[in-house]
Amino acid sequence: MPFDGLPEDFQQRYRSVWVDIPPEVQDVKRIHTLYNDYLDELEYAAVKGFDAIGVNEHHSNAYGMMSSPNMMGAALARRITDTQSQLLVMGDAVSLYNPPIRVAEELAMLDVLSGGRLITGFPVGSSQDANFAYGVPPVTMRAKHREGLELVLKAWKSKEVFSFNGRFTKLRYVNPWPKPLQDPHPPIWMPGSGSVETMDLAAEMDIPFFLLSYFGADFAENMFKKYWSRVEEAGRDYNPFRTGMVQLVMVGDTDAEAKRLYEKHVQYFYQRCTHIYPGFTEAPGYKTIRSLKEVLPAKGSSVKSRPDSFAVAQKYSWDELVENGIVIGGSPDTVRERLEAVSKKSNIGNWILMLHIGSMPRELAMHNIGLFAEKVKPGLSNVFAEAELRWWPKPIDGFQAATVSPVHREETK
Amino acid sequence: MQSKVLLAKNGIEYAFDVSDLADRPTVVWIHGEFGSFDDPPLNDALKSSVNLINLHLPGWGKSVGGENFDQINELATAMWWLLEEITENKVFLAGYGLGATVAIEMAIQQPGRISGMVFGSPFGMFKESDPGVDIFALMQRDLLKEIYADPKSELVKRHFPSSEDGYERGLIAIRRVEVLGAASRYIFPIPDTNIRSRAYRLAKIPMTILFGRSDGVVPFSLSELWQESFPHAEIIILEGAGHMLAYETDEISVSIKKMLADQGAHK
Repeated sequence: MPFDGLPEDFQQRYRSVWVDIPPEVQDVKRIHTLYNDYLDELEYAAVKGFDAIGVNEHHSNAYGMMSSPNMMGAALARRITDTQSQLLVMGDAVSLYNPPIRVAEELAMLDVLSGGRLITGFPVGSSQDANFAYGVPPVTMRAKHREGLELVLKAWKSKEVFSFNGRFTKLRYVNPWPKPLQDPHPPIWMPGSGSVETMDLAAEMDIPFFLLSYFGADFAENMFKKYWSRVEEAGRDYNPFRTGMVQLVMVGDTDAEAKRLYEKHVQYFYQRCTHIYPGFTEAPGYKTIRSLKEVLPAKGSSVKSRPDSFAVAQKYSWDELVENGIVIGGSPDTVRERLEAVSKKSNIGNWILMLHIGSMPRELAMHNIGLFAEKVKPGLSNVFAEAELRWWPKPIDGFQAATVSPVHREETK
Repeated sequence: MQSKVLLAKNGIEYAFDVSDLADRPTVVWIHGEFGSFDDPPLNDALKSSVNLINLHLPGWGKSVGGENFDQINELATAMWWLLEEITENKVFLAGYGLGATVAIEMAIQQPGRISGMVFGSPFGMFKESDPGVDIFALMQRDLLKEIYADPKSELVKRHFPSSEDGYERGLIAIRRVEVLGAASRYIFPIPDTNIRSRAYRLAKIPMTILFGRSDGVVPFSLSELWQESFPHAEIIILEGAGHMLAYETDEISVSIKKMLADQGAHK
């Protein structure tokens, strides 16, 4: 949920779009409209047949103004009950919350409210959000994440009130009311940016790992190779639904039309929304020494920015963004073929599509969503038809969802 | 000094350097948040006249472990275990930055073991109106001018080398993550360790506290808070020095020598 009013000279005038972006840049009246536009777009996607609509979490950030994904999830939960769409909350980094039982409670509420449609994501949390905006010491992030997740799962599954004596959280009575509707709990996905520890945790817990990247699956090919080797090492199967990825997708009637419609909005994103002070990217200790050694350049290599870095991407033209797979954009056929190819190449069974990006206006986002739903998605739905969809909400025995009644304004007078 | 002596306890491997322990005052040096660059930055005249113990804090590379510590008093307790393995003498504690903060915590735990303290650029107190820069957020190019009075000096090049080789640069980045990651356990996000509420424990310990006028991390304006909490301490603000004053000037050695002389005179 980006703010679309960053000035053209944002990079020159300000240090960072995230963490210490000055409040003076905000236009709260505009944000009121944007929140409603973005919720409309998500509801439209649900109506158009998307398998799920998703919200995420960022803090002190002008390109992701959703500091509470659960609040947006609640706004959506009762508006999609006449669709088949599930509700994905790809946020709630448990290490940010004290006590993290609050996360268990709010997600359980969302699951009950939505009639058992919830899919949860449990990110470790970005350094910008967790360390700099929320003050979590970077070296404790992973331990807090593990402990918080353990507490949430136990709170959801336990049939009794219990005590929790963790290193970071001590609770005499753990007793969330209500528990989730899905039994024992909603599906859990594990988003990450490529740390081997996150991949290993997902494999250990037998849940999907989702790569959150703004650079596309082509650049992530080696990352997925690494992931699948760790999955194999952990003795898990090669099920494509065991992974997923974020991808910018822009559909037009033709390739040229897509460029004409979307180029300036994508460039707004890469030139303004990703202008992040490098010191905020990873607080010391956020990544383990082990993870950093995994990506050490070879001896004698030159020092230059990687092609899949924000510093370089901000200079890419539309054609370069598309050519590098950072944006999958073009006609419905172009987009479908490209998505199918990268799905098969890296065995990716889930895609979290960013169909609204940067300064894109509501009508254009709706156009993109509609074209994708009508002309691209049907051709992709059977790419992995043989694979078992294990990490997805399942029908609940004996459950009949409540009818959401329209507001009877006469009665409230 | 005999280097890299190792002892193990509770999953931590402690490294320390120690000179021959003779019948003379003992000075314990504790490095700062950037780890040990080389020998303790004390002058030869002082080194030759005292027993010198150089403690390497666990997590900074030479000593290994400490991942389960969440509070600085846990670190101080661990360092006391190590120090008691080395000597039973009363000691002078000295250090800078985070090393100063650890020294204060150690002194609070066992004031009767401390003969005196000299430290510079200490973390532990914080003013919202003058917070200093965030060492955990700054890129090296922006950090150096905040911690050294002369960021282009040879000293800086020795402490923070740069490289055009991608691999070497990666190793430098990993070293930064190692040392500042370890420091973040104790002083992130705000370096306020609540020393003020426990300062009374050190009321009888001779103390000199140094600040660098050019320190962008621990602003010299904090000297007022330190003086309030430790009214008996001598506060010195050094011109031409920054956060790394222990390496930029000789003043810590000078202050220790003066303290030793004062105490000798009182005997």
